[in-house]
Amino acid sequence: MSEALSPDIYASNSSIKIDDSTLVELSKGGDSTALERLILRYQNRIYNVILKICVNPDDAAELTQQTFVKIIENLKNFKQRSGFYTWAFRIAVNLTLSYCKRKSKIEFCSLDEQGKENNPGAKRALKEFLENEGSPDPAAVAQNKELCELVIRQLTKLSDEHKSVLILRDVEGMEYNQIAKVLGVELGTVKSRISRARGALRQILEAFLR
Amino acid sequence: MKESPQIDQLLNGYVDGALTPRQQTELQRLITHDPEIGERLDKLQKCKLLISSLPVAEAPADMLERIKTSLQPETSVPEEQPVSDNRVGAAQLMFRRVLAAAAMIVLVTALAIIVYSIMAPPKTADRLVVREGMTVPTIDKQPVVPEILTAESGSTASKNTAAIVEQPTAAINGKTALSANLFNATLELRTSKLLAADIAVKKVLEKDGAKDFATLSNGADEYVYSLHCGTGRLDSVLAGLEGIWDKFTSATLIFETTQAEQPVVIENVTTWQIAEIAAQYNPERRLKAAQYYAIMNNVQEFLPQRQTLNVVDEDIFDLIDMPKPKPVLTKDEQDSATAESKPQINLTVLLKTE
Repeated sequence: MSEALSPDIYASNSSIKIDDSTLVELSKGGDSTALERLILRYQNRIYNVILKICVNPDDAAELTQQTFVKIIENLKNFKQRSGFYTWAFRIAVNLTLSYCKRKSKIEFCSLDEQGKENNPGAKRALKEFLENEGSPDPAAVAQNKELCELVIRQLTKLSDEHKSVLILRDVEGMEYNQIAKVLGVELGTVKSRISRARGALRQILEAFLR
Repeated sequence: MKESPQIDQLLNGYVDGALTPRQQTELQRLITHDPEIGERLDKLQKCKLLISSLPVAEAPADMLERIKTSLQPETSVPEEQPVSDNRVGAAQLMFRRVLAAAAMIVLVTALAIIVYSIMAPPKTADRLVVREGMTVPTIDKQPVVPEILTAESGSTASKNTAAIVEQPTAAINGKTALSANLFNATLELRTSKLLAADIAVKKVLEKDGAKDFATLSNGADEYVYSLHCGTGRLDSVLAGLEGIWDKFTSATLIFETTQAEQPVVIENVTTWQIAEIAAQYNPERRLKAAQYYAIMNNVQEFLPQRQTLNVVDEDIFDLIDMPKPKPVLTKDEQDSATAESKPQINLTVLLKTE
């Protein structure tokens, strides 16, 4: 998926599609409208990924804001050797993982969160989804808010390394090579990391359902 | 089937649509031969579907405004802040340098004034005579001592005393008569208890029955003694005076030498300093020592704290290009000193009321 050609599902109300590199050059030249277009184009996608990693909406909003501030501050130095899309997500993921690392040192899982995890309805829905021999309906998952919360909670049990690679792939829909650029690792590392991450998530879910 | 990382990667690649046609064919063959691989593939696909089915969250509606707000202080302040910081820092640094330079100039000027007041030739010939209440024997003029001698020689002074005093009289009769190796000085001591001080000083002078001194004046408001001896006897007298030194409100030594046109006045002199000056074998060095103590004692008055004086002590020698007095002679100096005779002491002790 190329960022310039990919379907922009969060596209703003603008009718003319301008590619990222043009918007970046215009922004560098002081065009504030182009800069706003870039922000509007990516703010939801970046926020969504950050939220899936850090879970807390307030933290996600703050981290999204910080990400764009950093992007704008460093835009003059951005040489476009990589795409703006991967560069922006690299900043976002790095900020979020750093934040999660700091936060994990001072926070513990609360009793309230443990209570939510034991929601029997959500647990049953998850079991049906995984054990259904037919093709499960993704829309049914999206509509089940309790199930979604439960899945997100299970995701948090993964290591930051595994969590970020899975979210970039399955939530944001990045290609392996794009993930490699965002995380700053080799393509082979991405492949093996995705494999281990899915294996780990499968084990977490199975353990939870037992 | 035993789990294999290679097969897992292949399965995940298939789930993500990242396999080449050849890899896909290979995987199909594996699944056909091993149903467990097919089951694992199914689980992986469900894991992926579960995550990708999660609802997409949208950023807060005011995100753009929040970014703009946070950018305002971020972009404007950092560009100007370091500049102002640098300016403030540079200004402070400059202020400190100017302050330090001003302090140095003031200090050097003060020291220069002191040195100049002591070492520069006075415009009038009566520099010491002008000093308030001080009677100083001068070289160019008729000295005090001979005048008093003349007045008393025929009356109260004994023949022995007169005989002793004749030698310094000859020595200080005019500049040319002053021996180069003669320590010729007047020690002016002021006290509020003149009579008691006179008794004490006389006791010191008369110690061990010494008769090398003469009472030159015995007035109501001053007593004058003349002592002519060697350095050993002077040290003994000074040691005796040290015991009653605190009884005097002021002590001033006026040192005369053929090496200088004008006497050197050392205020607040100590017995140790007098002994130190007299102990110098070389007349030139004796003059330097006297000048040194004159400056140091003046500086001590100028700078009230003793610690400060200690700090500048060595610097003053460099400043006035003057060697510090050395009681111990170097080998070269000893050679020259042996050629000269030991210094003869001619000390006039002037006791006065405050």
